[in-house]
Amino acid sequence: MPDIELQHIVSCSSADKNNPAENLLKPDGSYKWKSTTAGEKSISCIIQLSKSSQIHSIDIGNEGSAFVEILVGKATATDDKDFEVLLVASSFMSPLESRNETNKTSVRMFGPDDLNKQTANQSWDRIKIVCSQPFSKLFQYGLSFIKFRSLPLKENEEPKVKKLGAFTINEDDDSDDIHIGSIFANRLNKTLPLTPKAGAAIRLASKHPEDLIKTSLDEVGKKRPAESPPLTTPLAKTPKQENIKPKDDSDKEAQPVTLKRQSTSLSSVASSTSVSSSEKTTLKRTNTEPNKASSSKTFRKIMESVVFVLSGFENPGRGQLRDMALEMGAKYRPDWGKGCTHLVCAFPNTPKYQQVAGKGKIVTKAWIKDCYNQKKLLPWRGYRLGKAPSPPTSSDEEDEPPVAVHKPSTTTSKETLKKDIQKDNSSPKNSDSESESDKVKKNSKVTEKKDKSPAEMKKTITSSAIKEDDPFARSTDEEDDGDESTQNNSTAHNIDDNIDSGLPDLPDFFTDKVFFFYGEMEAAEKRLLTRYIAAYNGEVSHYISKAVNFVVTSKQWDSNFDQAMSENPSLIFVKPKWIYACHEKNKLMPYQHHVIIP
Amino acid sequence: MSKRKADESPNADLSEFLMELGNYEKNVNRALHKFNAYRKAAAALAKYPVRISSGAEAKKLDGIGEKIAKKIDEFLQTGKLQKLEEIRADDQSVAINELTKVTGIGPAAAQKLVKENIMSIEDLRKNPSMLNKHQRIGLEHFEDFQKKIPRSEMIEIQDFVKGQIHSLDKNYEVTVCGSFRRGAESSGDIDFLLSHKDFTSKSEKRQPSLLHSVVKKLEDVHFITDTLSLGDTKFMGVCRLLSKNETNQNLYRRIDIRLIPADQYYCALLYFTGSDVFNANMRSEAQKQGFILNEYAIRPVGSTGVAGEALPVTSEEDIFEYIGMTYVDPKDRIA
Repeated sequence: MPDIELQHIVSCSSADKNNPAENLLKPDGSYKWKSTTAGEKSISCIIQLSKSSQIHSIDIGNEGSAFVEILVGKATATDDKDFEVLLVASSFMSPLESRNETNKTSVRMFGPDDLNKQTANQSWDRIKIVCSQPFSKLFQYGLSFIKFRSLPLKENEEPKVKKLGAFTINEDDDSDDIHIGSIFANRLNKTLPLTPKAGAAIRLASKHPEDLIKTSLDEVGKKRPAESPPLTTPLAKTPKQENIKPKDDSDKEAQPVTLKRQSTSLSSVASSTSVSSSEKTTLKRTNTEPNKASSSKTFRKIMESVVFVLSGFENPGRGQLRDMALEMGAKYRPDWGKGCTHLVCAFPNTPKYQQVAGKGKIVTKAWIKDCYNQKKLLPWRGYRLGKAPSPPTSSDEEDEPPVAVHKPSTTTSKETLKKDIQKDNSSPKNSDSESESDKVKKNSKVTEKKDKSPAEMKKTITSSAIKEDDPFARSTDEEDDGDESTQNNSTAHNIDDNIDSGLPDLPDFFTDKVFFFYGEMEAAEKRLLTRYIAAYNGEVSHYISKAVNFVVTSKQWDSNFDQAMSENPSLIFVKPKWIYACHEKNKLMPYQHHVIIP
Repeated sequence: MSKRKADESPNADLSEFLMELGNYEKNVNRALHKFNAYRKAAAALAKYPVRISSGAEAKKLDGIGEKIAKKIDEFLQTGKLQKLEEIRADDQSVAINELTKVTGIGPAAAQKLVKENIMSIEDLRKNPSMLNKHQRIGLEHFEDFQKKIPRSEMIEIQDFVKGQIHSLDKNYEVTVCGSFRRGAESSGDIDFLLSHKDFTSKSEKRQPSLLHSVVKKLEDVHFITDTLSLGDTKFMGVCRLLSKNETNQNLYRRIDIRLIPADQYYCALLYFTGSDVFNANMRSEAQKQGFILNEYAIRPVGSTGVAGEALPVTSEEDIFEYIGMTYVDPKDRIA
């Protein structure tokens, strides 16, 4: 029987300062809810459940109440009378016990037979607890805990929350949260088991590249087998290609073609036609001149030089993007810092966007997806997000001309940094942050297959990359993309000068503001709002208290608002829109346009 | 009960004539509400410690309104009541009142019999075919049943029955309720409450054998002579305590035995001990304190008026305690 989660206290008729009703939301027994004063005949509180549930059983831990009654209702109900009795007033203490103050903390468990059947058969999202103590006026009373359970689950479903004594154990959820080391563990898990299916995957890839891409675009991250061709195709070709060209070459050669295609439809982020057509060319090339690198390692090196930061994405999409980039050898950083190259951003004007503008390359998620699907590093400009100034220099400068206007101050350090990196790795595609040992391992594996010394191989990589790619890429980029980007840069740069003058910290316009979410709200929306609030230094309270300034709700005014107002007249009820507006403008907007009016 | 009180009251004659009117309304017109109104007025007058001198004065009392006040005025001024004289003069009304004295004959049956031109107990005796078994037994012992049972005999019966029942099973709880328990010198019938620890309201099934074996036992010792009705939890019948003195045999008495679930025993005891006025007052006090009290249980009233679970009761004192009343001894349970 899973516990029903209590979300927050909607209202409470009476509560001791040190024993507020909110204590009932805490796990068992250690915290109590008590009346404000001794001698109150009855006290009540209303609790919001996380979701509408059928209640199967109730456990109640007493704290001096003579009778406890449980009623149920719905958040949508407007009237207090709409509560229905689920558990009739039940006795916890006799008059004698009340007067002698004995047996104050008994526990009673009520099963389905004790509950009003008709009421228990329906789902409810609000609980009203009424405690009374008519026999003694000498002590404060209330409850020590209350627990609701829903119907027993069928099959093997288990409750999400496990309890170990007083501790609640969250089950691991590896898809969403980042744990220390988990990213790397995931990488291994996800790439390793693919190899056996190689043959089938190759056939698939060569026959229906278009279909394949469509599906993989839709289900990135879910459908690993479908995405295996990029890893496995080169593997199959290994024997032929080894003498002809170094591994990264096909990437480089393919890029100009892709670039052209994309520049014709610059605005489109990843229209299926452009993707598939470029994919076709890539495939053709690999077929006609089988020069691809020898193993899935190639794929893992596509983004070796990329150190990226994500902004504005929510899980699970965030995790998928991260995994894709990581698979391609990119490095993930939670926050922008030294060495970061790309900001993958959901929409302009996120706090990170502001921070990175002018310092790094800001791209849409399509960049990662397209790179992933096309198995190569695509120039970022085609996926540029917003009109923020470009970084002074970029690591794929070989693809494009240097930007005319840029700030020398930031440039120098970056440039040197980049140069160092390039020197170190003797390959522009190698990342600075990948550990040396790792690289050596990879390289040695490659060499085994190629029968070539690592040194030789590296040499060829560098030379071919510089000789063949650069001029080609530069010309196409200049033609199509150059104009716009320089224009953008010149207009955006003025703004940038102002913003960039200091260190662009996250604005903290929500400082000292406490928010409380009320009523049903989509989990995704709630999460996003919570993120925004946290980002701007606000605080989210899980229950309504005196500290709360803003109640964020998408509901209409109801009687609970009045009640909350009567307890805290300074409360402001706002729509989520306000938070979004603040976020978009990156400053505290007047909330007056977004308040909820009775 | 009200009659007995009326005996001691300075307004006894007033309550008496009101009760007569009430009985007329109940038996002849079958207007139970009017009966209750008269009864309430009669009880109020009986309780009043000073002689009423006018209808206007009586009107101040609870339960006495315009019309009853007028009747009191008429009675006080003329010494009689026109309406009552008419009723007394009406053969049918007299007959109905008479017939309803037979156990098993209520207002409806009495009216039916009167329509068949049966106007007296004599007429009934001539037409036994018109009566059912219950009514025939009632008729058979009519004279005995009209006689009150002296307290001494009540105690004798009580002790005898208790002894018989405990010879069956020591776990039976047996109490004689009604006016006897309140200390009345004489009673109209005998009312036993019976309970057994194996039988509670939460028991899966009823246990008729608990009652039936008791009845059987009392029949075997020739104490119970007739059965008017026997269900799973209630017996109604006729009993006679055999006397050693053959020539001066005891009268036949009406006896009821109720089997009460053990957890409801004390609420039932309180209820069947009465008096009815006392019960009514106690119930209204309970209501004021947020409880519902009836013959089965005392329950707290929830915030929306829904009665709560039956509270544990282990004695009559518990019930008083719940509603914050000091315990009242049965002999003082008059109002």
